[in-house]
Amino acid sequence: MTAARGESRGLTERILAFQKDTAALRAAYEKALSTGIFPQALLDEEARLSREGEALLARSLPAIRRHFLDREDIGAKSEVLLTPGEDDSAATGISKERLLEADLSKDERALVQSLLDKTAPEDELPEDLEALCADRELTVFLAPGTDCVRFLFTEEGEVYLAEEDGGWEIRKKPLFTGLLAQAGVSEGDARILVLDGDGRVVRLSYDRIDTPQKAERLNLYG
Amino acid sequence: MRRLSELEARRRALLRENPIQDPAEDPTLSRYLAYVGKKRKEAEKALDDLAIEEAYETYLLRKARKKSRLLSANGEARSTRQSRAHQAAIFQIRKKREELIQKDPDAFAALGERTVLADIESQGAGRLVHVPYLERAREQIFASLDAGIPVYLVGHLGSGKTQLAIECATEFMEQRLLQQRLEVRMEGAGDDPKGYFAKIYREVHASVQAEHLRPYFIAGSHDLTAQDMFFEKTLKLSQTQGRGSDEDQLSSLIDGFAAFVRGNAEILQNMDKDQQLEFMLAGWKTFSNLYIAEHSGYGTTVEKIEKEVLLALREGKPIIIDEINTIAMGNLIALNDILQHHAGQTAYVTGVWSLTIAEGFCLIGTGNLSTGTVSYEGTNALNPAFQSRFTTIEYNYAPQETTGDLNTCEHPEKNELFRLLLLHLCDREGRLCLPKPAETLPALYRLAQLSRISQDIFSGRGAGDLAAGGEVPVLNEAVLSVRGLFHVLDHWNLGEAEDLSMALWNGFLSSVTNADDRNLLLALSVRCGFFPETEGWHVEAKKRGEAPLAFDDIRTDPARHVVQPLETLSREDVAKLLFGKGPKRTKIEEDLGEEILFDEGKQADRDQGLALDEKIRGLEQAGDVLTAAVTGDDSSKG
Amino acid sequence: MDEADRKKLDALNKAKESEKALQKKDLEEVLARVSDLLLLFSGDSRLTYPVDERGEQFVLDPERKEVRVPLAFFTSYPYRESRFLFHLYTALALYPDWVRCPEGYLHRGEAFAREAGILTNAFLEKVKEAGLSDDPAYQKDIVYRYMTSELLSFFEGCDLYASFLMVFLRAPMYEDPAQKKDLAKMLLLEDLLPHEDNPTETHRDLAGLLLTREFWGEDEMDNEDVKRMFREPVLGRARFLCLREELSASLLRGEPVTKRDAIIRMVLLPCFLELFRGDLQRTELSATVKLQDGEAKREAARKKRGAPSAKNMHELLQKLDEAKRQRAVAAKELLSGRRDLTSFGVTAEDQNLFAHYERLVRPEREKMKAFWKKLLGDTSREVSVPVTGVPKGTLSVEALIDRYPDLVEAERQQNYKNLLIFDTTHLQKISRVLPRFLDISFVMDSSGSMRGEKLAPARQALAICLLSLEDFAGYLSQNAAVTHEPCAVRTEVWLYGTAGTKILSFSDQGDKRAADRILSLARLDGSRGSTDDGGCLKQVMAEITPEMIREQKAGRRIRLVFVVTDGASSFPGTAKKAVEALEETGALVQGIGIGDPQDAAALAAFRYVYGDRGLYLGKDAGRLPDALLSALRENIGGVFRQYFRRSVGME
Repeated sequence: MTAARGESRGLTERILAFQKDTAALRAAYEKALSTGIFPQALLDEEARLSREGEALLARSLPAIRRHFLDREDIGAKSEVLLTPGEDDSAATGISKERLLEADLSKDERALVQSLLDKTAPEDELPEDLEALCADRELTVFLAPGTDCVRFLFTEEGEVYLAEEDGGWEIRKKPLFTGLLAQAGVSEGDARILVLDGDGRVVRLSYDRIDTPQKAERLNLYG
Repeated sequence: MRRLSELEARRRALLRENPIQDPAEDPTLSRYLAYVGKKRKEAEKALDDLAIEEAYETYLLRKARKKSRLLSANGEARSTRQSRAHQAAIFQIRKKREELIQKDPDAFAALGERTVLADIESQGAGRLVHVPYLERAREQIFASLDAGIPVYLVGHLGSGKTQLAIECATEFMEQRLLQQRLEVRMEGAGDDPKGYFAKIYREVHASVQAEHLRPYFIAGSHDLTAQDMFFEKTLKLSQTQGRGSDEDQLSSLIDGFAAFVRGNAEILQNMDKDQQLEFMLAGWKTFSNLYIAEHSGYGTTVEKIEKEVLLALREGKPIIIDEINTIAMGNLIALNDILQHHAGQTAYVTGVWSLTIAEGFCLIGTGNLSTGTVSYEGTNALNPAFQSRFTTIEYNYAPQETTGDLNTCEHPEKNELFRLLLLHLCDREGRLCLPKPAETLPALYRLAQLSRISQDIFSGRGAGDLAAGGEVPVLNEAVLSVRGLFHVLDHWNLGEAEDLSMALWNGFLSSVTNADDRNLLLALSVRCGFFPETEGWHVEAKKRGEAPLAFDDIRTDPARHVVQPLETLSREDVAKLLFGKGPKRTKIEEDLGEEILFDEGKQADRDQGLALDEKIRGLEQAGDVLTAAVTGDDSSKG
Repeated sequence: MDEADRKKLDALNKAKESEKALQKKDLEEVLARVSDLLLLFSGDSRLTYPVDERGEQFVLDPERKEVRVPLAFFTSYPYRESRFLFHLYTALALYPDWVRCPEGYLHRGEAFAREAGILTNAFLEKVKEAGLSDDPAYQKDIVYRYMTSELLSFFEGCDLYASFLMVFLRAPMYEDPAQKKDLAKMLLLEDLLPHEDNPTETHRDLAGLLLTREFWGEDEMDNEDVKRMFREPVLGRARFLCLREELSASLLRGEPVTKRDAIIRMVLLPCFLELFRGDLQRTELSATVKLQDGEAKREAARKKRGAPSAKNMHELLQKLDEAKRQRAVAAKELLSGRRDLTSFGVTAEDQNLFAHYERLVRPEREKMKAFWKKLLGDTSREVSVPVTGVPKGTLSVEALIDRYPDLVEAERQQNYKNLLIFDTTHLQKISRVLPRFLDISFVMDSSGSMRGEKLAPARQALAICLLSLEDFAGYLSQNAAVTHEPCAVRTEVWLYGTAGTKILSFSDQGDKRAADRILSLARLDGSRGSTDDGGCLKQVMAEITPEMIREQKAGRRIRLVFVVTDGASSFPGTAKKAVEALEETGALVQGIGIGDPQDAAALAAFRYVYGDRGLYLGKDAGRLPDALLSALRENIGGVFRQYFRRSVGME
């Protein structure tokens, strides 16, 4: 614990230094702007700070994710991949032929197949996440996802996002509402495929902050 | 330490005087002048050397191509190792020249001034000025002619296609003759062919120019027939006289008579003197009558006159058929077989049967472009099958930027129309005298813009890229072409008796007969800053179909013109106006360099400023995100 | 108000109305006069300029493609053409940029989120100092929104300045000092220049001060800080000049708004922020005072200036953004070949069906293209025509005899040109009068008996005919462009059973036509009951107007009707009468029957109705596509050749 705190203190110091240097760079830039001739030293400093900034962001991604979990513009998206045909009844679900005809890549098709066959393993929730769910009084019956991300489907038809950034955190507001899923399978960290109540295959995704560039573009305000 | 910018400014001011005086009271300036003069000469020599080198490689290239054509199966010149080597050398030389101009301010200035002088000479001789737009067209034309493919030049009125055709054909002939003569002379080259070439080139070139070669030329019309192109058979009334002079005829007559007398000597001997005389008289009469009857016929003979196309084919000269699309299709078809073949091959010509096309023959046709809006009377579109035998090259109006003014244009060399305009006003030495240059030059630039705008509308390019169908403003008959511009400028006459607006009216607008055209052109002129209200003009826009504005409509009080004194711009000033400022002087060799402060330093870099601003912003943003996430502090100090 | 006053008021109002009407007419006159100039400036021929009687704003509505011109402008200020044009040019100046890059304008708020955040935090600091952190009016969201809107209006002010610069670039007349002075006075009159009267709102004056500086010069500016800022060097020149030059260069290069905003951010935004911070310092906060949303003030200013309101602008830009996205989608669809026709009732299955038949008939369609081309090619022929009495050619004895006196005269003058005594042949292009309209109706049997093997060939036959006729129509329009002989080919499709329905009409266009074409095939499904071809033909007949009959009789319009039937007509009598009536109008009717040749009754009925205009294919329904196509070929070919001969006079 102490080591971590020590580490985080080092990080904080670095960040403060970074901010100070950036402010100094800005001042130097404004001075040079009057002539429009930018000395090499200024350009070099910018390059150095650029590298430093990227490194810092990369180190801090978990913290950033945790801090910004509740942001409004999280980019929650749901798209329907496949609907059952007229001949497919609700009971039989999507027929094999329909799946073959559909406009999907090979991997996607395999994944959808596994979803339809319900052969995907039922994911067990890690302990601390279960505890959190209990604290929040969420009745989760389905939780597809990976080690870092879980989509929590509650019986009220809500889907909550849980991220593991040095500890599990659940987003306050649900990502989606009115979505009752039968089964789900993970397609990556930020995407899952689910089979909804009408037998449709839906892809759910959100904008996960997994690169320094995405972190830089976060909107702090508003 | 003197500042370079100050020295330069002084130097350029001195150049504007005529004659150029030596600034004896300012030794540094004097030395600087001398230095620049010296560097200019060096640059000119370097450019000359490059030019000779290029001519040499071109000569070798043509020789290689000729050889390849002779050896090839179908008479086409194919690429060989030698021809490629020479072509590559030519590209290298051009690249060297480009680099020289980009780095050396003196080379840039020397080339610019030389071009100005050459252009003025061309204009004076009635030839076209070699702006880049023209050069590109010329390259295409020569490439086609070299390959033996005829050229069809199309364009709108006043674009100069006929002149272009004539000049290209002439130059084609001159190139061939030059090549021939060079090849002959180079046989005595010895060990240093390049040096020898450099020595003889100018002389040979001048000798070719002195020949005043001219291509054949036919003006097309609807009535032109195959007879007018190839072969005219006319009836000629002539006397079939015997060959020889009157004396010879008389003597042959007498000889004949003498022979007659000798032949009848015996009969004569048996007659007395009177009878003899009668006999001989009768004999003479009959004899001379017979002779006359035989030798002085009075009738018509058929004379064959070979016409231009046939002559060109036989003699191996280029032929230009102007307005080829006015000729009836049935008559043009007679050219089909000729167009299919090139020099060295045989073609079928009506009335002559087959004929070997001589080397050096080529055909250029010109025609007007009929677009949806403009229709030239009496012209047809060429039959596509026929036209496919030509290389069709569109040659229209020189490019010109139509937005922005003289000070904001970033690429002055792209304003070719403005260049033509200015050159027209220069004197033989390349100097330009103008009243109040600070005001007149932008006005002339706007005149060029107005001209180009009218050309765009006339050729159907009036609508922008947002229009999709729908009505487009048109000019039906009138356009301010280069010819028109020169006319306006001549009227203006450097503002001696009238200003530019008045010259525009007198020299162009008043002679526009189509009412809609005149009104639209007037409104456009106003938009371009002419006919200003403050100078007593009053031009209001008119609807289509309304009567044309007359002088009294647009002029509220009588014109009062103040004659301004002329100020001179030197040749160097003109070159800078036309081609830009060029690279900056960054060093001066010799001791002089130590006395000079180079203050024309680096330029403000806008793009770098913008990029840096963006990047630093990103850093600031990153800092905020990091602070918020890691230290938990949400506020940014900014 | 008593009667007399009321009457007076009425009269006054009436007078005002008529005056307004007159003024409106005048303004429309003016607009008609300058329409070409506006077109040349905007480059968009679809823009119209209607007069807006009530509004005070020049509103550019890109969706309806119009610029509403306020009558108030015309009446409130002394009219001068140059001023009027200046306003219109300004309204149009940034229009191309809007269309090309609407998202740049729409997402400005996000682009400057950081600056808004900085200002928000500065403001909230002040709120904290004043102890008003709990005040509902000073919550973070509200403050942030307020700051964003202030920034946006700053950029809008800069947009206005950019519009003016664009007008200077494209209409150099306004750079003339005298013109500029006139405009300066106009701007002052129209209250477009900032008042500079509120020390806590200096940031709002900044963009407007650009205009003051441009038109009136430094001396007319009151704010010393701004004067200083404008003079400070940026990129080697005074800030104001730097901004002016860089914006002009950017506009000249046609760069989108994002580039311009970047320039403003680099050169001018720091000043804005500095001024704003100063303003905040000078502001005194009090509890629950609604943040002075300068919105209302700005709206009034906008109205006067003649610019659209902020809400309008946002809507406009959103519409443009939507239009841009739709264009991208349409382009994609065009590439993939499928349009979304669900709004016309076409399902994906229908599309698949049509695509299937389209593929099937492709080879036949290609062959037909050759036929159409030849048909058209034949018609623009050149014939060799002998002429006599021309100055060149072979000697004609008769002509010589006729013109003997000319010959004598020529002998006397020794000039033998222009003796019209020769014969030659000239190549003459035969001009031919095509029918103006070619209407083709397909009446297809969709009765119950068609079910089974007859449906597929019927659909195929219809497919090849419809598609091939579209090719023909294309060639005809190409031909018309060259020869100025317009000939429009139109097709319609009727499906009948117990009753007849028109699926594809002559007047269908665009997407509707594409949809109906598909439906013609898809609905041909044998679900319509009995075979009442007569009834359907009567319906077809009913749609022929007297005008059309006249044209048909005069030969300007050709009507062809092809009927496909599979069995005994339910009402042969009616059918025969209908066919004869159609033929009376000048239409050509052709029937094709498919059915059992052993069925004597059906055969007899067919023969009765169609006579020799009928072709009975018997059981082999598979021959239907070829038969229908060749019927089409022969009939149209015959029509065209007949026309050709008629005009040459070679009958």
